[in-house]
Amino acid sequence: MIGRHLEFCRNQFRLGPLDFDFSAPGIYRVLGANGSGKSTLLKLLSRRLNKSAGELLLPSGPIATLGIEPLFPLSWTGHQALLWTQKLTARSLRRQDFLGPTRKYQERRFLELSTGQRRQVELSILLSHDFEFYLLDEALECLDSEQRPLYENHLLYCASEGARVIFTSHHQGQLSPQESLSL
Amino acid sequence: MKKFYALFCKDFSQLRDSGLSALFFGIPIFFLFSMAADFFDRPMNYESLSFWVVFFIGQTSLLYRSFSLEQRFQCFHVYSAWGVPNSSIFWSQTLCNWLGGILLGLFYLLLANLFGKTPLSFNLDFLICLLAVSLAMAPLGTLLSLLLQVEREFLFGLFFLPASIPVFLAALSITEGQNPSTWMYILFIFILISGGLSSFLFEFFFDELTQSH
Repeated sequence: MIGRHLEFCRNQFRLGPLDFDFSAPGIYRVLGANGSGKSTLLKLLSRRLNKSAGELLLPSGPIATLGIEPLFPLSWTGHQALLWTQKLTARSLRRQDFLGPTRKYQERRFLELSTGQRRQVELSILLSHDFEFYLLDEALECLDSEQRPLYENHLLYCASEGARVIFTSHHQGQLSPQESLSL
Repeated sequence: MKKFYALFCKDFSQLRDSGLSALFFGIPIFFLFSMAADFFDRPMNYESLSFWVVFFIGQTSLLYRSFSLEQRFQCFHVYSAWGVPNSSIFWSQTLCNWLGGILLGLFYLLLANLFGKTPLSFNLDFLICLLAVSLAMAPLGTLLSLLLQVEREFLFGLFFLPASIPVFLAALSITEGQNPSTWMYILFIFILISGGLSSFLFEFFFDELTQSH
């Protein structure tokens, strides 16, 4: 993921020009105040928006996204979502399927889970697959202080295995980025 | 192929909801038709006419609900983020709509014979006609359902029914044995054009219509 003089404009909103290079494995943080365009940048990186100007090089394979838009239909169970992800992304499982605490939620529908529990299951599903890019838009914000370190450690592990984790967050936690992009 | 299978499984499970409501939707319409026909003089060819009218209304109800899961939960973005080919999304939904149309037709045939006085015969010609009619409507309905999504769904009936009038006329004429080979030929041409054009337009519009706001 490389951006050169990347710009996005819609109505009154204007983002960029931005220059960045997220091609090396590691953790990247996108910083900025509310409304500065952090989520917009992640939408551009996940092919959800088209750039207005500049250059944007994106990988051809699947990108794991969380927090940008709803990930799975709420009427599905975690187990259904896991199978769907596995088939649709054609990614192999990185380690175990569901992380310890979320195992008990896997047969429950997303509708029946709280926001935090739902986020844990979604994170669990994404982290269990071998994605090269993880785009997380304030994805860890709704996790409690007990669960958050577990997922942060998993993200660090993924980065050490060659993944690129690009996240926006107002709280850094344990994720120490190798590079930050300020908007 | 795995991706197509995953999409097909999702669409097929969704078909259970949309198909069931379309199936039950047909019962009161057949009943009303039957009552109206008994009240006035039962017109000629009443059975096949009422069958195809109800089938078209049922099909509209079924096709209208294409991508309902994605629209309801606003989760279109996995397709772009995970690099799923647009053609797979289109053909998987079309295939499910086609199968749904066939099942709908078979169930309505049962109802038509239940409410009608002269039974409609179920033979190979009828089955081929049903397969072709459903195949002609499925791609067009899938495309229109995507094009008219979000706040414009009410236009579906207005666009879909006029566009499928040739299919309706062909279905009626083939069942009644009026120039069946000519109408089958027209139906075949319609399938090719609507399938090719819908697939092309879907490819063109999918990213734009499902883009984030």
